[in-house]
Amino acid sequence: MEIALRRNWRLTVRSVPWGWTLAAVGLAALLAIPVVTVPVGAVLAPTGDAWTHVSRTLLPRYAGNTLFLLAVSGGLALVLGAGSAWLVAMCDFPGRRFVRWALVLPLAVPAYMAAYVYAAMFGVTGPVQRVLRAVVPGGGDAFYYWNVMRIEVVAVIFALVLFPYVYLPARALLESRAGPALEAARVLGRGHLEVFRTVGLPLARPALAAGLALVLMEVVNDYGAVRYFGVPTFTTGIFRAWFTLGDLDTAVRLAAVLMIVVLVLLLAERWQRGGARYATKGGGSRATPYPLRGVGAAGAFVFCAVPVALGFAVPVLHLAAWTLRTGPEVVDANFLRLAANSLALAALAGAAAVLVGLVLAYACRLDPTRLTRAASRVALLGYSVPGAVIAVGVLLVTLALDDVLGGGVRLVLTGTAAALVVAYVVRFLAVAYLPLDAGLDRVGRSLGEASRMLGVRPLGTLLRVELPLLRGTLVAAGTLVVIDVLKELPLTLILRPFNFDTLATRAFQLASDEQVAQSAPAALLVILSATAVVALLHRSLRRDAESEHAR
Amino acid sequence: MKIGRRTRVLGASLVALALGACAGGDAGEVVNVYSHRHYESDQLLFDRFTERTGIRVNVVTASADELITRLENEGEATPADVLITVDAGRLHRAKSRGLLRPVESPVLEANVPDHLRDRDGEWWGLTQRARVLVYHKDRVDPSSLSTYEALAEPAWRGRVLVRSSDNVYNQSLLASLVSHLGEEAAARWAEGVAANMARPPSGGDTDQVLAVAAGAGDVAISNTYYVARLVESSDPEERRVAEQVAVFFPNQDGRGTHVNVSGAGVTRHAKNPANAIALLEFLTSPEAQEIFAEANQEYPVHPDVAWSATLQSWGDFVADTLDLTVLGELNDEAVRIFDRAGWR
Amino acid sequence: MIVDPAALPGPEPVLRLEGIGKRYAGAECDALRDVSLELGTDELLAVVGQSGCGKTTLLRIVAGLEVPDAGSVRIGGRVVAGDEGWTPPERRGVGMVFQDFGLFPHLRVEQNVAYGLGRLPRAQRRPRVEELLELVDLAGLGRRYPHQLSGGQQQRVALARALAPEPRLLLLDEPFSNLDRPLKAALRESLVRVLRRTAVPTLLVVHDAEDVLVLADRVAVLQGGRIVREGTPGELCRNPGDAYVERFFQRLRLPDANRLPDELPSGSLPAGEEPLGPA
Repeated sequence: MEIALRRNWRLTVRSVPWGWTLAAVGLAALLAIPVVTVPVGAVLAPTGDAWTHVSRTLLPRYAGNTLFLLAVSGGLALVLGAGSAWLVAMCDFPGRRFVRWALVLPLAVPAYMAAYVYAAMFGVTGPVQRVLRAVVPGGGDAFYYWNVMRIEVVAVIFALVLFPYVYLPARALLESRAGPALEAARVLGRGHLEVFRTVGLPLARPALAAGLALVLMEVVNDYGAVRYFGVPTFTTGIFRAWFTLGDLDTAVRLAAVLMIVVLVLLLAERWQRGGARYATKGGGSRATPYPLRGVGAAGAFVFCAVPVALGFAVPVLHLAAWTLRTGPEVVDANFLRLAANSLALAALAGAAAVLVGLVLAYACRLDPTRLTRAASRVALLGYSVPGAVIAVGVLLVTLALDDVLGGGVRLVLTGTAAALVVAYVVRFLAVAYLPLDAGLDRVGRSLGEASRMLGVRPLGTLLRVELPLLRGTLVAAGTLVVIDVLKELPLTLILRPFNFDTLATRAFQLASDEQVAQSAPAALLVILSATAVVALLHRSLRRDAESEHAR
Repeated sequence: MKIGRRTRVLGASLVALALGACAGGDAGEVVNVYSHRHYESDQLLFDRFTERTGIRVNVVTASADELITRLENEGEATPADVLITVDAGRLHRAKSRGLLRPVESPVLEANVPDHLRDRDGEWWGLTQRARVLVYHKDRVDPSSLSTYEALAEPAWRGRVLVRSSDNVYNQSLLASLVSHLGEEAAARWAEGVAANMARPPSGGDTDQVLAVAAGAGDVAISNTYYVARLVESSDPEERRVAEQVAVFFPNQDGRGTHVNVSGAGVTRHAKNPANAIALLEFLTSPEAQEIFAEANQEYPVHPDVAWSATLQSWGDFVADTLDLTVLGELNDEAVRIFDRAGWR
Repeated sequence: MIVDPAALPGPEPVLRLEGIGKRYAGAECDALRDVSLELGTDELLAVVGQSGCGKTTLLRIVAGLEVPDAGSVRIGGRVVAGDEGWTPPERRGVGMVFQDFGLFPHLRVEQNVAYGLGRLPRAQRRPRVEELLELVDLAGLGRRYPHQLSGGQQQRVALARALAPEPRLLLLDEPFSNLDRPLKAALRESLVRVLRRTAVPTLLVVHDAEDVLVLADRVAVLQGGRIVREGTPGELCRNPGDAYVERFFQRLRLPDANRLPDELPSGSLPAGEEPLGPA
């Protein structure tokens, strides 16, 4: 006779590690508030004629431009990322090892900085024309007008600096888990392209979908590049409504519309993934590569090297040239303080994000129920919300809190570095969380359990067992956040405190003020810092893998 | 996990940096400035002010829109003493939102002519800039140029270059047209110019001038100092570009060329009002005005200060003496007209 | 089997499970239904059953790593899981040796063994570690790291580590499944020796009949989530009462089907050795 088993709820409740669970839920709620405030604010905001005006005249344009950018950037990034990942993972050609790591470099270049560079490059007094005038006989007085400041160009620029988001997961997948399947297909005699089409692409689909989603979200989030090129999008609309028209209600409404766009993107990505959980587990080996020769080898190298050149080398060299020219006038004590500010802020945000991510990830393991899992998901929401929207949300919250706490004195929270750091954590938590989560998976369950059986409480266990084994991952997670914060523009522009500029905002301001050359030192510093961090990341990931082998 | 010594030191220095970044450090007299201007010469002026008076100048630079929004949010707790913008319209906006305070100063009144300051003394012009037509010498006969209004005519189809309507300079220009011509006529003008554009707006004023030199269009609308900067540039390529174009002051037979000011006001809740006034007096003094003129190619407000060589070479011109307050009052209207006219 | 006649089992069993039930959402494992067990002091109880997760789940419930849906767990007379309360694993005083040993790779052997000795005054830790290493025949290997040891050595470190804090109860989850056959017999012997010397009550999950015979004082057979048979290995061998139990012990059946395999390896202490740990 089967007696139905009902759970002993009293016991279940008692056995929950409430400290951790409440911490996780509390953190998630805190991080979700700014995000939720926007749609709520949009619904509650009165419909003024400002909104009517915007929705009638500007909304269609914002939508059209945004869709165009998504389609073109996304498509091109997919081609560049998937193609180069395939070549690097599946083939052998001279220079392969170099491009394999170099293809990551464009990630260090923020889109808006690439935009300034390319706009100036083809401008009347830009280097391309100068060279032409110097080189072409009789062309000494010719000034050409090449209109590069158009939406098509900015779409290409996005693709050039964002394709590594597709490249990295695709490469990881092709090099490990897909190896055996691809090998099998080849052994069965299928031609190279056919293997790519019938086996490689479908296998890589989850990785490609995830990478593409990241690219699209970054495009939607951008403010600097589209502003500079004069392309009206939702994000520029938010800024315009908030600052130029002083209309927070309209800004909130636009932010809510933008969130819907992003939601659609995310749902599409999940549908594409078909429920397959994208795991970052390694293991599995690389299939034997196709050796390429002659034209094929040269072609492969060029295909991989060109995005690196255009997405990284060209902007960096150009900025370096400008820096040489304007450096002495721009780099002074103020500039150095600016740089220190930026780095300190980024480091703080990185540490905070890692801390919060750890608590969330560990709570999920200590209390593996739907509650903690939901808390994690909610906390990760922020990554899919554009920086400008989060800034608006945080602003709404701090304004409200200030009203309550300060009784009308609106400076207790609004405009402090604390609000900015919180906003960064809301925005970039996922960047720290995902590697930490994967890292904890790799460490496994039994070590922590063994420690608890020996009388050490969960916090002690975390400190004495998991963390020492995750040192590399902690650094990686933190540095990933640092890169993103250094590059971040729209959120910082809105929320930064008194007397506080970051390298990114300073570069943007100067460039917008038609002092592009003067913006170069700040821009260059951001890119070089990001590059250094990317290199560090590469090494720490490798160190982690090696220490795993030793186990 | 034992927190190693290195980590501890790193952590401590991070906290220190963060605190230092947030705190101010306020030994001695200060004046806190919210400024839209980013020019290096401004820093020079502030340094000289500090030398003269011992008052330290703290500056936050951001767009005027952001600064005004911030001032509103900060309310009484604002640390800002002075607001500096590059457009009279924004100064008026700050005044109309109650963010500035009236200032009485015989020095300021002597330095700044009546039509370049607020009638209630809440803001004072620091420099002037005219919005002129820049045309290609080889392709345009200056006699075919006359007024802003003429640019909307079919004769200029596909030949006009101008920056985005997002920019305050255009907004103020349109505001002045609304004031002079009425809303309907101004709207038709905006539509006409939008239809005549050689390309959709992109880039700043300098880009429009460069584009004229490159043949993308025949005439551009730009502020004077951008052109003057090209003329005086240390880059020979830029000077060559400047040689291709010439400057035309429109509406000389009528009301005059549109003139705007970059100006400053003392904030309503300033914590150091006396220092703020001292700074304004310094910035409008002949010494500072000369630096504005030379280093930045702007027209000074002080009647006795000479213009830079380049500006002098362009000669005197009739300037629109419209009350600059109007530029601020009609700004929102101007933005809407731009949107409806399709002037991106 | 009683080692020291003076140390008779006390009135209260060290471990008492009453009506334990556990259901899994995934349903790859059988639910546990109404499982009741007792473990006396100085007893070694083996739990056997078809492969599935029921056995391990039971162990983990005792350890506190899982929460039962029904029933109660008492250790030393006190309820650690049940209506009256809950004690988390770190406070139960239960030692556990995991199937994959769970040695901390970033700590040396001696640090691993000393890990649970936080309560012990510093001065006493080192001697205790050495004592345990000697007990498991690993004296002198303290400075090594786990990855520098063989599988059998790792298992012994795991055992030493679990025993160091003098647990009230020891749990062993398939201690030999990660090792090769030839190693097993020797290790089994050494395990028996250690357990007898420390005289710590032990709950053991195994799947090999031989292990049961060598190690266990009593056996419980888990099938379909319930305990279907319980008794000494001898009793179950003679009288399976169940098809599964019969098959389980079949391997050991001697040519004479009815002869009781009464020559069980003694497993008693060599003369003169004193039991260690709680008596």
